[in-house]
This record gives sequence, structure tokens and C-alpha cells, in this order.
Amino acid sequence: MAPSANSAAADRPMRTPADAERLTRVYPSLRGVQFAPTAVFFACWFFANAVTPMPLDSLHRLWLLIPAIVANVIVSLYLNRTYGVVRNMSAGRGVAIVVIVLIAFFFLQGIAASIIHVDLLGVLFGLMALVSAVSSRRWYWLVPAIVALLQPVIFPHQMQGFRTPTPAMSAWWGMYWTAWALASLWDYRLLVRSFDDGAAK
Amino acid sequence: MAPRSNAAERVFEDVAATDRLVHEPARLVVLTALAACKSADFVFLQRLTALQAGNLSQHLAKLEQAGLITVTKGFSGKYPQTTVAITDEGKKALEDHWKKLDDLRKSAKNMKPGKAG
Repeated sequence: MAPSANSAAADRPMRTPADAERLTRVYPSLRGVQFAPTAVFFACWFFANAVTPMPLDSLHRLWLLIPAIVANVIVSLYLNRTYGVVRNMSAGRGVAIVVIVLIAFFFLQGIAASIIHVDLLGVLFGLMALVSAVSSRRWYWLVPAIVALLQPVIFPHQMQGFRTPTPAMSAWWGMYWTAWALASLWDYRLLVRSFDDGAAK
Repeated sequence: MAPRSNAAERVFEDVAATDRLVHEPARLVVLTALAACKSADFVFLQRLTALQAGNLSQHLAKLEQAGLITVTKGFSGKYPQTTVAITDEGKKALEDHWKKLDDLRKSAKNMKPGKAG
């Protein structure tokens, strides 16, 4: 059911300007729960892969990701209608940042593959979680960050590339995505509390 | 009537000169929040201020009339979406207001009370 016009109004004192500013800055990052379905999918995928390694030709099973993406969109729409939309940058700037990060990653990955034979995918995902942890002091994001950043240390000289990952490596990725999904759910808990209590924690 | 010192009179004049359009609590919260992002929609601002939709609309209309914000009405799917963004003029008004409040606080701290009677 669509929320009524005044359903967002609450019987609580006016938020202070400082609190409003803090919540506005942190709100977009508290919406991480919208990616939880995909994180859960990848966690299940990698744990299943760790138990029964799937050959490369089973990659077509990735179509199973589509329901997870649909779930992402549904959660995102729910958040839009319940808590609203805040944009911290223009769409063009956001796309430019993603493109630059991807180009830098593939460039460094190419160098790492030919010189030290280390897969930097873990570093990339670790840095993403680390940024979430540091940018708004959500320290629980350090858990997926540490798991991902340790990946090249625990599994040195294993370029995942386009070959089947080992069961141990799959289990490691499963742990990473589980930690990611749990951190997203904790974000949602903070989001609800921030609006219900009238204070961004 | 008790005489006032010149300093006290100046403080009261400064208070009277405060920009009431910006100083009103709900509008101050809205402007401060908008200054922290590129844009926000009506639902978020309503969540933030805990105001009724009508009240928030009135505040936004006043700020828009003064040229401090821009309000864009559109649709997100089949749902109407009102997006609000602060203008450069709005940012300046907000900065000036905080500076004025800061100066006011400082001058009130330094003020010596006048002799009564």
C-alpha cells in the first residue's frame, strides 16, 4: 500500500540543524540494504561452489542473479517511498567515478597479474567496504573489508581470472559476501533508528 | 524604564535584524540539510523535519519565493516526486545567517549589563 501524504510525519521534536545535516550526509550510505539480495545470492553461490565446485561452463547459471537484482530494485523503491531520495552528486559524476575506478582497477590488475601474480579483486572489494567503514564511522564494515583485503594474503599467487576458483577460495568469497549482507542489514537497522529516534546514530 | 547600554541596544538590533525567513526552525533544518547534498525529495525532508505535508509545503513555498531553493515536480514511475535543491543564493543566505548568529553570540557574551534605575 502506498504511504499516505502525512505518514512520514512523526510526533517528535524538531531535529536540530546539525543532526539534520549529519543524517542527510550519511543517508545515501545507510541505504546499502538495497544491495543485500545480491550479496545474499553471491554468498549462497560461493558457498555452494565451495561444496561442489562448478566448472566454468556452469556460469550460465548466473541467470539466477536476475531475481536478486529484481529484489534489489524492489527494496530500493521501498526505501525511496518510505525514507525518500537524497542525491549527493550528479548522475554524470557518479558514472565518471565508477568508470575511473574500473579503468584503474583493470590497469593495476593487469600489472599485478603479469608481475606478482596476485588477484586484486579482493583488494578492490576490500577498499569498497573500507570506504563505507571510514566515511561515516560504520565500523562494522571493517569485517567484510578485512576478509576481502586478506584474500590475496591467504591465497597468494592465485589468479582467479576466468578459471574455476578453488573450494577454499570460494568459501572465502562466501564469507565476504555474508559479511557484506550482514553489514547492509545493520545499516538498515541504523536507518530505521535514525528516523524513529529523531537522531542519526 | 531601565536604561540600556549601547552594547545591549546593538545586540537587540542585531537580533531584530536576523533573517526570519531563514531563522525559522523548520526552514533552517531544511536549508541546512539541502546544503549538505545536491538535492533531496519531499519525502526525505518530511521525514527529517517530522512536519505534516501541508506545513512543509508552505515552508518550501516561502523559501522558493525568496529564491533560496528550487522545487522540481516530476514522476518516479507512477508516483509523483518533488525534488528540492538549494540555490547559490540559499547557500549564501544560510552561511550569512550562521555567521550572524555566531557574531550575535560573541557580542552577547562580551556585553556588560547596564545599570538599572
